Amino acid sequence: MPQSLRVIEMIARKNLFHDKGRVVISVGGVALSVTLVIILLGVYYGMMTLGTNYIVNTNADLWVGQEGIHDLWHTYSLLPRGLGDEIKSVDGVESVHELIGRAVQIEVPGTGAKKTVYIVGFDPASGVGGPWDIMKGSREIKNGEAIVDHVFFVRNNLKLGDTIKVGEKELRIVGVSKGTFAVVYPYIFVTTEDAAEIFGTTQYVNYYLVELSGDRPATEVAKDITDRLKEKGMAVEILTKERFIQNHKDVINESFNSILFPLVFIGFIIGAAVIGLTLYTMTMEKMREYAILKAIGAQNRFLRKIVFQQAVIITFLGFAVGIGLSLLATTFVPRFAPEFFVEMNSATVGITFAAVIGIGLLAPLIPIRRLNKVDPVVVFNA
Amino acid sequence: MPEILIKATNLTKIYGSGRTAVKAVDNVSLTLKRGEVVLLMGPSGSGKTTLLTLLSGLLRPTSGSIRIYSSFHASRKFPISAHGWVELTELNQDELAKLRLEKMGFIFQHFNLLSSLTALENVMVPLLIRGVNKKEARERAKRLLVELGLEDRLNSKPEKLSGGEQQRVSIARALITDPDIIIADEPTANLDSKNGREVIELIHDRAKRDGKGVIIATHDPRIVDFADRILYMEDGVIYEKDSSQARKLLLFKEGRVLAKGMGTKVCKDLKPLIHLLF
Repeated sequence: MPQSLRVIEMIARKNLFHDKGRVVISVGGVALSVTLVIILLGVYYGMMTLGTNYIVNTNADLWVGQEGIHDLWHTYSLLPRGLGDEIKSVDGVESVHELIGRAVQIEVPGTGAKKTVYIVGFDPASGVGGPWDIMKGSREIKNGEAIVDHVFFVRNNLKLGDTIKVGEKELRIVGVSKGTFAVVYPYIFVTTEDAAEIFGTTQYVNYYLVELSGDRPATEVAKDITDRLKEKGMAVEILTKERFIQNHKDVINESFNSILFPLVFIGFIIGAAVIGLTLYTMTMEKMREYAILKAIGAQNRFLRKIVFQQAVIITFLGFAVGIGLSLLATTFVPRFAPEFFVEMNSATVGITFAAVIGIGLLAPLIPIRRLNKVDPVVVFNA
Repeated sequence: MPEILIKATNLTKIYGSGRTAVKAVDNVSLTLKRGEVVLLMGPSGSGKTTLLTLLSGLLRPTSGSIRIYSSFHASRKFPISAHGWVELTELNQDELAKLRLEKMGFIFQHFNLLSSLTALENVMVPLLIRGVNKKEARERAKRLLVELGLEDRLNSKPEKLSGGEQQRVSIARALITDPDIIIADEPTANLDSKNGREVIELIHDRAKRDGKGVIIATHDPRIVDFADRILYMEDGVIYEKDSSQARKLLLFKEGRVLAKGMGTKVCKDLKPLIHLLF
């Protein structure tokens, strides 16, 4: 470190830690602001993960649905059964699986409360479209059985063997799946037959899930399937896995960004205000000492660097403590609120770090303006 | 090495303008020589502090010239004439700051130590600003503080030091860069007589031993014994008396310096009192 920076660092640090209470308050303020921002961003990324988890973990390269489909939540797809063989005959298709799934209200055992869940009917033999991570119980289900989402299971105090009622259909819980709480809907997995019975759609399915083989691009295969089904008078929409995931992300963005990002912005403003106010009050209090330094020969840029260095110290300490608090929050909060999924990934930390650097640069501006005006003549006054 | 360190010529400082203009320093000329201790005395508001701030380059004069002798011929930090003189009024703020750092040491009435730093660190600061290695700065500061009898107070913060100790730290800070010029503003005003005497002895000894020019603004009659010259200032104008005369004649009453025989308007009204006392 150059000599001039060492002395700046020493004065900045000593000045700052001279009043430890203030350091605690300002670092704490920045840390809370960082925590708020990380958690908000973590909630955003968590929603993205939760909202797309099912599609990501379902072994389908193509989703074949009714024309006009966009996502699993807002658009409804209905296709006749029996198109599987037709689709499978297209070059590049490895396998085709029927999927019946939609949101529905069910009755929680014991309380009789109604909850909205997303029922998915899948073929237990292939497992495609079914749960991918079982926390408790069995992965194998038969008609009359269900695997329920962990959050739903915990929140409703359920036990394995309990029975949930969907319309007139009773389903015994045999397993609990993880990662199947899609932002607002918990997933409940049943057999295709049970799902058809529940929805009264024995002649229809909602989607065909297509696995591809070979090197043919997914878009080419999708076009061929579309053309083949069109010849049969069937208008379908085929989305690649990536497109379907992106559609769900778009839905989350449209629904939550207008709330989430103003909150993130407010978090940053609070952080900047905390640093700015701390530096401002500290600079004002130490104005005479800055005047002394100026009188004995320090130049303005030397004084500016002291304030800037203090901002750096508060910012980095606040960021480090904020990361620690966020880690604690992401570790412990889900134990009490399992639906609260905060994804603390490199993007969350990276964005927060970049923003914190930004506020660390921004916050000292006003104190530095005052500092430029400090008149060293005051040191001669009583 | 020239004898004269500061040469101020026809210095005037006017605050404000028009009917509200106040002439704080009025056509003052003075010199400060190597090894000389000059006292600047006079009542409050007479312009002493303004004159000190002009000499230190913290204020710009309305007119006049202030030349400082610089031995740093090789330095490119500020423009130096062929004869080694730096004209303060021609320097920008950064150059003035560098000049103060190189050439001047300051001692203040209120000590003006940095509250968050220890005694040792306070003394190190000017060296560190000059770019001296931290280890060397620490060694030099420590040596000087030990020399000034503060070996037990090196790591004490200013709040834990007595007034006399704080002023000695302040003197160490002024001396650490070995400047040619020491500018002191009421250095004994906040000290008891014992500490005041010790402090002024210290400044005086350094001036004589190391050949520094010292200019001290003061109200304190106890320190006149240490002055080579006394400049009496009133309404921005300087009246100079040699120290032996001034020493005999100076008396403080109600914060005003009365100077018998100075023949100025200041003294005129107080002649009866002076006659009574001498």
